[in-house]
Amino acid sequence: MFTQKSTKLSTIMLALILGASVFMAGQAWAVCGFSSEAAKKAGPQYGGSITFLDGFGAAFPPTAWHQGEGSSWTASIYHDPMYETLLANDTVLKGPCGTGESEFYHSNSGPLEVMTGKLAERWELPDPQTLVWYLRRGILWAGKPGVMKSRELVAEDIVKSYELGWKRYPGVSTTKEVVSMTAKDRYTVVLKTKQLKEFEFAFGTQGWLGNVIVPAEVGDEAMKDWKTHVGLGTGPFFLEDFVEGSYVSYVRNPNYWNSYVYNDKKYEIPFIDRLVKTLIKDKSSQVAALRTGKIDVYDVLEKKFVDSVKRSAPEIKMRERVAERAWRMGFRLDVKPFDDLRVRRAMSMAIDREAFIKTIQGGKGEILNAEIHSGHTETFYTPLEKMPKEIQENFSYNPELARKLLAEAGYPNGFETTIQANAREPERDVVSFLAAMWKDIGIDVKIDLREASVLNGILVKNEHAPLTFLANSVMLAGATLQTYTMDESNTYQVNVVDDLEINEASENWVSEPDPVKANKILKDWNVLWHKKVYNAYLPTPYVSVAYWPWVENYAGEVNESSSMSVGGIFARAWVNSDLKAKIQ
Amino acid sequence: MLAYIIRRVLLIIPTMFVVSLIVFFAIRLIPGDVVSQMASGIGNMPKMTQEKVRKRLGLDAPIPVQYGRWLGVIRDQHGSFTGLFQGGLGLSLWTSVPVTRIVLKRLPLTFELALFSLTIAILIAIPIGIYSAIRQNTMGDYTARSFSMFAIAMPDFWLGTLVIVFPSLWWGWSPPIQYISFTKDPLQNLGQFIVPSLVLGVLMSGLVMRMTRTMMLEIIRQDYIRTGWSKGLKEKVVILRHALPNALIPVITVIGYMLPWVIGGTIIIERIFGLPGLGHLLIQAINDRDYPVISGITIFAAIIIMLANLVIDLTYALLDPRIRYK
Repeated sequence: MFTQKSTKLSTIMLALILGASVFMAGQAWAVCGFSSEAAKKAGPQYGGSITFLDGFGAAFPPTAWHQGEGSSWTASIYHDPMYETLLANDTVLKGPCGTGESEFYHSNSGPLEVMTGKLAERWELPDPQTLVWYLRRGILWAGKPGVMKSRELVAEDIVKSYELGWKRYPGVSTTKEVVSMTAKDRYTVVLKTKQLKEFEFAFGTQGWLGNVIVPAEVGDEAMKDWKTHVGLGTGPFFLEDFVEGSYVSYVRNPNYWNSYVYNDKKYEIPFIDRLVKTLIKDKSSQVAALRTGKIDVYDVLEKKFVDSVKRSAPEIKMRERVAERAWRMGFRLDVKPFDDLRVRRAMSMAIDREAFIKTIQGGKGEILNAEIHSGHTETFYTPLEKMPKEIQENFSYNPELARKLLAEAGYPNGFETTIQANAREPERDVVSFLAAMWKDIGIDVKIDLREASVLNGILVKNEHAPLTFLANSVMLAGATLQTYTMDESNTYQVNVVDDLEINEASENWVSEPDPVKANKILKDWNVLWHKKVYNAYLPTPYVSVAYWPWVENYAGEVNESSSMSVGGIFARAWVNSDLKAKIQ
Repeated sequence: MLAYIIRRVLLIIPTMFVVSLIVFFAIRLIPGDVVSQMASGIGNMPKMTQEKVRKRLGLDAPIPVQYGRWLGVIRDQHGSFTGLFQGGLGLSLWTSVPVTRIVLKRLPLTFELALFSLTIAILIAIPIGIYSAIRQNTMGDYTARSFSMFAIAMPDFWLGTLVIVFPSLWWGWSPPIQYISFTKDPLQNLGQFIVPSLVLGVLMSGLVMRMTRTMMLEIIRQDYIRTGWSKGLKEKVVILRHALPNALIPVITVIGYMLPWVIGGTIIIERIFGLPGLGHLLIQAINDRDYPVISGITIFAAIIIMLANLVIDLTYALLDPRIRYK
């Protein structure tokens, strides 16, 4: 029987039970139902680490820490998180996390309209031969006992850093146009060239050829030792440790000059404590490490692994992109019959590119991705459907027309020739496919596979076969144009041709001060290039950036400045530790 | 005995000289050139610059002169004596770091892997070999022999890859990807070596097991063993105290011959498991045509193998009192 007293007790009990339920529900929601989106809305988190693997890092270990030695551009991959550039791709505002107007996938940087100042606050072009950078004030070098005291970055640092590169590699295309670089005052750097061109902007973004910006106190010899670089730099991270063949690790720079605005609130960056670049070379090991969460970001996941990774780790996010490669089959024009355009066109038309995509590239490939990467806007890039009819024909599969062209060229029964390629996968599969296709139109191709180092030596000496298959990087549009001029320094020019039209296009581009006109020259050059069919282009495969969802404020970007530089990108990414614990 | 040891150690010197000669010239027969590699990495290095780089690295000199510089009997391109006789193995063509320093840094890892692998191989092979011999033609013997054939036949790269791939698919496990040295964290370091050592050790155990079984079968048929049984000695005493020491002598020989195989095996395993040892370095150096590094690693490996063989020969004397060296 309920008395007043017992009713009051029941009410209290009910209130307690309800209160406890609400509390427990809240805890359950916090632990189990706390989604990544909710966490993201909650704001950045400090702490944790990100381990990433990029294609360049795995392929090119840090053989030299001195930007001016050996493979200098590979050193820039490892310098990137700690030494910054003057300009960079604006991945924050213009990339996938911002307006999305550039995907920042393609090799190297630019165009200028999607770039932003880093160490340089702004720049000017007072005349066609001069570029002036105005440095940002208040950027500090960290102090390091025995090396230097902490001080401000000044113009003299920029000048000294570039001089290191010039001394090492005088006369290469990126330096031979440069007349001088001087420090006009404490914060102003003046670059004078014979003709200003894209590379001067490249100087601002890339660690090419001695262009790492190091403090003037660091001597030439000291730069060779990686330990010199520990704790130095203006970048978001400091080098912490380097275990050759295993990893490179960086720690947070607590005095980094930059900040990040998120939901109208300003944050000091980087958010993470540690950034690790793993140097695992074995593909199976790489993918296993991704699956098990030991790698947080993997930026070159090949198509053949995508399905198995999705099955075994469905939480992983993927962002697909066209690889920054041009798969090209180069003809030597100093060898008959490849000096005949009809023969070259015939061989291009004999390739069934759709079948190639299905069998070699796992069902997805980009047919036209060179010499301008398809990720560029139509500032440079012309899609295949907008190319002239004859170029579209070259990319179509038409063995009847191919045979007709061969007959017109005087080879109704075909001919014999040799193709050279790298002995690794997928090159050896590609050349087997090509040989089978060409057999169909009467061309007998002997396949000559060589180890990479051997093939490089053959190419440098111009001793290569009449046909060479290469899967090289697609570079800056202007750099690519330069590559195809008959400059004796160019080691990638497999066609052995001195084409006056191409040389003229290169000269026009170099001497054109108006960037809009210069871009048009590159665009037209690309069309002209495809008309000449010096190379038969194969589709470029797709690769994926695979990353775990606990890496937040990251959308699969891979390139802030160049050569897969990621320091600035990971400086504003954070790790959702709750989500990581839940998934793992 | 001491004289024998000193003689064997001194014999290493002329052997090393011959090895260095063969290695130095042989690796330069490999097609491809280090400067071409550097040039292709940059993409546009003028021939003039390539020649400058070649000169700076001392590669413009005739090969016999380069060998003399490497030995330290001819001045190098900078005018100094910096070769083997001065205690150096040259500088890496890519990083300019002394090869001795590079090799010594990586040697402990490879040594650790080789030691663990060999230990595991012996711990697996000898007990199983003994059991297989004393229980000949039983189910246990057939199983052991099948296992040994499997271990001998299986390629190390295949087993290593399986061990990486399937646990990641089934159990969400993969080996650590950041190498931690023993001095930094012994437990983590040991944890990192367990799986690769097991892979290599299991593969090596096959041959050792079969040799142990064969020798044990031969020994246990000897008269003195029969005498032991007749006297009523326990099986453990007959096998372990009387039969095994005599059976082990050829087994130790086999283990000694396996040492080059162990070192070779570490190359693949280091690559698969991401362990930055000498094997890993050797592959990289060959790809890069870093001749001094290749020579340096080969010389080190040769010295280690010769010293190990000396140790094995001395072990015979311990096991068999009839063997004495003069």
